[in-house]
Amino acid sequence: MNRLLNWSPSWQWFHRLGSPRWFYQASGRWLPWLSLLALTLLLTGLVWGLGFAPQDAKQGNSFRIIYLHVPVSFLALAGYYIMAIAGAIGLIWKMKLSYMVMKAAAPVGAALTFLALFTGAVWGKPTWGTYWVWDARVTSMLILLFLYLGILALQYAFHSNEAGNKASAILALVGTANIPIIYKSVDWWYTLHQPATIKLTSAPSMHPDMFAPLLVMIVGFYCFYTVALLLFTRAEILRRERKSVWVRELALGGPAL
Amino acid sequence: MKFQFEDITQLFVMDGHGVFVWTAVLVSLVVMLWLIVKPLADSRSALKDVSGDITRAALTRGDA
Amino acid sequence: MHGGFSAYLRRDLLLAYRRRGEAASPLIFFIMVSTLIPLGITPESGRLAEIAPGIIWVMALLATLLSTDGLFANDYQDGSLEQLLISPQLLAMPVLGKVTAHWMVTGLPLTLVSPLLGVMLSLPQEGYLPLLASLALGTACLSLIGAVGAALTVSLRRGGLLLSLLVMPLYMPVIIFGSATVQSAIDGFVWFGPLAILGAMLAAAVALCPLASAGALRLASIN
Repeated sequence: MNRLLNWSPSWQWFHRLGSPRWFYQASGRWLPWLSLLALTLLLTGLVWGLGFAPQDAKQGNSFRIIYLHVPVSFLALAGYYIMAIAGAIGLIWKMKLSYMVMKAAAPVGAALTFLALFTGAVWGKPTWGTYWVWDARVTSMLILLFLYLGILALQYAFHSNEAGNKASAILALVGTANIPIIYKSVDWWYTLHQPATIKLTSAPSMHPDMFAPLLVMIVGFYCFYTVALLLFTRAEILRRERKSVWVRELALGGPAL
Repeated sequence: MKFQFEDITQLFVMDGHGVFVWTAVLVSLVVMLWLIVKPLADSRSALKDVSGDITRAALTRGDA
Repeated sequence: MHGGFSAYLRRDLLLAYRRRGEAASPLIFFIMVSTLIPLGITPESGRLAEIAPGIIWVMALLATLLSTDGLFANDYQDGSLEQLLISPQLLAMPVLGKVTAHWMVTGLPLTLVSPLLGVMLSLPQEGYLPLLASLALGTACLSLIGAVGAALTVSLRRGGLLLSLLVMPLYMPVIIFGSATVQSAIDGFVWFGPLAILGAMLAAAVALCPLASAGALRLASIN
């Protein structure tokens, strides 16, 4: 194992990755570019989708909400997995930084889940006449929001930071195992009660002119998620590492990161 | 690829769907902005706390 | 071989017996609150029959949730949890013993009383057996899943509130299939399907929840 550490660059990278200070400095370098990328993609996608993509034959112009709703829904779910994986890495390798990322992922994911629900509701009104429908996807998304809120509540409830981190990680992992079960159950439950309805949230084969801006928005949102996650992680790093020399120097306006 | 509306006002009205679309856009922008501003504010206040600690420690030691 | 399972099962049953009143309160809650339904919604037999499976299941869930908080809390407060944590056996076995005792004191009585509630809420004839079967399996699942939440929140003040928040999303598949078992039977379909899924959930829960709870309990000593 020692030999590995000495010559393998990949282990070095892994261990360096565990250092909050390195992460803070490295992320500080990447953030401006990543933010620029996210902003460009999102603006392009939004203008394209809202102004230039052709109208949907059935839904008219309100289908344009898809350019927000779909990316945000993807990220709400992906964000939960990212949070759980970060928690697992923290539990297995006892890496502080991983716990910090996990903690950062919670508010970001919860906010995006809320957005998914909100945009979905606003989309539902002109399309199906009602803001809320208890269909499989909406219900699952609501349950996802509850899972996020549970993690957020648990994080702040512990005195000991270490205990809080481990508890949140355990809960995130239990939640992750449950997400497919919950989704399948709700899906089954919904078909049970609505046997012969048209597929409300159908994903029809989209015209490429409509699909292209969606792709841009999805990538743009992934970049945005990363930016937000990095920002929240950095704030957590500064809070947790307040006693260390580099943070104190930073606070006094010291060496540029 | 052409602009789908006759003019800019139509972009906001969208044949009556504009309310929904633009509400969704606005709320999304607000939430996304919060996701950027909140951590930046937290970072700033964390650093301020630390410099406060340092100052207080220096004062209790009795030097400048 | 049992690694503490039967020891803790006996212990918790004995403790529950000594605090009979406290142990009976979820059951009383279950019965009393079910009478709120006709008062709050309608006394009309036809409409009650439509919602009876769901109501009974939701009430069972809430009653279980009420009692789950106490699963580890008493032990934490008097220090016996610490003793459990430093003892040599695999922590999952005593946890399973405690959860089994919890189910026998909460879920099992609920299940046995449910036909009475069925009568009060005009549950159709075909629903009774599925109700018993689904509640028997389902409340066991609820106890196991609740144990994970109880273990995570045992060292917290106001842990009970947080417990409900944490455990609710995890309870949802159980209630979906539990209620569907009864409803399918009433609608004239084969009800073994959803029941089998409940059984599968129970099997998975028995295997995994004690481990997760044990892991979470260790946090109580470092909080």
